[in-house]
Amino acid sequence: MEKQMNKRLELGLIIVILVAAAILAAFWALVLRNHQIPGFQQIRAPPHGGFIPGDYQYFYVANAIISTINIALLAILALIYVSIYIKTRSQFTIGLIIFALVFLVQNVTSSPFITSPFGFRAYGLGPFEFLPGMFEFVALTILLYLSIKY
Amino acid sequence: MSANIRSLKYLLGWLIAGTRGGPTRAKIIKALKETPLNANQLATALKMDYKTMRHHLEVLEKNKIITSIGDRYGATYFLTLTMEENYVMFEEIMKKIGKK
Repeated sequence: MEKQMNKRLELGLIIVILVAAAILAAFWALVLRNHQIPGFQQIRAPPHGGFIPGDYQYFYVANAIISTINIALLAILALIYVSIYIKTRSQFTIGLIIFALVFLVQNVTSSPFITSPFGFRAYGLGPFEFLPGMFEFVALTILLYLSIKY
Repeated sequence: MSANIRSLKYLLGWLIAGTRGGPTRAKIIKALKETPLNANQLATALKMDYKTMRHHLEVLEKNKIITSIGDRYGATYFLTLTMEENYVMFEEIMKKIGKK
């Protein structure tokens, strides 16, 4: 009984934290937008002259490569989890399969090879174009290593 | 204590249903629950390669699911106290996992 209470309390706390984070982010973004604080680009338009220093083409090429590798890693992970599921029929593994597949969709929808045919492209992100994907690559490699080696 | 049990449950989930060697490890845990054995005996009992067996035993030992007595090669393996005390949980996980 007490254990269930603790679990509920924990879940409640997590939800409160998430809602608070969302409200704070929305508030912050709205205020910054209305007050036009320099350094925070909310309005989606290129700057005067259209030139952003340090925004090199290489970053976008790097992102195309890294994000494709990440898609491959996630496809392999999903396949490994499916093969484990065939052996174990475990609910835990279903969770892992869903996790890998959703993450795969996330990566596919943000891949430049998918976004550019629709006529959209990233712009002015500089090194931040490829950095998140690079860290994701590290994280996925660790997960894949643990799933295969163990 | 309850938090401890929950982490053990999560750990067992990963070690059995989240990694490729999982199903084999479940068999090892079951065998060791019945009687403590050494790596060689386990490999023979489960019809497995000795080296593979050593690898699985190492993983289980590192994760405090089993423990051993004796020198490296002749060591006898058995379940840790925490694992013995919470063996019901392992059985529950195994029940959920359709035998295959």
